[in-house]
Amino acid sequence: MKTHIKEYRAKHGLTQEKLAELVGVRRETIVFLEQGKYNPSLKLAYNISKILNAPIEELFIFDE
Amino acid sequence: MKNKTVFLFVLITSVIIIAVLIVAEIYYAAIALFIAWLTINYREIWSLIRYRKLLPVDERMRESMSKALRNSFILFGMVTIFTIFTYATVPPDLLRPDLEVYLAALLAFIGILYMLSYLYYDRIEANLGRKESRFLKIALLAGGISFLVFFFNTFYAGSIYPSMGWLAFHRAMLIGSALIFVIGVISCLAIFLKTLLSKPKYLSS
Repeated sequence: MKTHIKEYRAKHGLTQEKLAELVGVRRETIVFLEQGKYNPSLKLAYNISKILNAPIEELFIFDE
Repeated sequence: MKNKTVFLFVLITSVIIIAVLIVAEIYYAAIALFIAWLTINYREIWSLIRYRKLLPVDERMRESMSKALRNSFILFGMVTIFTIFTYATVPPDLLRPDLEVYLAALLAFIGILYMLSYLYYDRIEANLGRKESRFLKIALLAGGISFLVFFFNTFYAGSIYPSMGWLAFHRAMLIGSALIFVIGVISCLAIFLKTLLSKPKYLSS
């Protein structure tokens, strides 16, 4: 899985810590998400897309 | 709030049980329970000391915790079966540790295993390369098998080897299995610590 969280996060001027706080997770979880090493739940993906104001399919790209 | 309630519940329960164990003069078990409590709650304690607040229990943490709990529970079951088998078959003059020492060691062992499992799922698994992951599994398997070989060669030598003619083979098995066990454990720890202590890539903002 690839993600564009880092780019969108930078666009919004958010640090990993701040984004983690906003969606109620630890910073490490954001790190693993950005590296594509963790598949989030739909709820977490939705919360991130809401905060970053981007559709889920643009933030998370799954290799078929 | 939920996190704080669980932390406080575990803290108060542990304090009560430790106090009871101390009053009953079962010091080994009290120390082991304290170590188990520390290893299980080290994240919360660290977070309280450093940030003066509890870390959020997010979905990734919950997953790692449930996997670590599952591993601890499976191992607890295996150790219990192994112990019953050993007590039932090994002559009393060969193997009879004090029950309190045994319980203390078991508690501490399960606590440490929980912590290692948690660290593995939370911090190590995702950062392991394919080769390292395979090597870790092989080292774990080699360590486990060699432990069993060493154990049976120590306590059941009389049943396994029919005569003194097998003495050289018996000794070779003992030394070989001990050696493989040590190499397996050191290899596992080396990979574990190398991955755990390597500079995290997430330090960039």
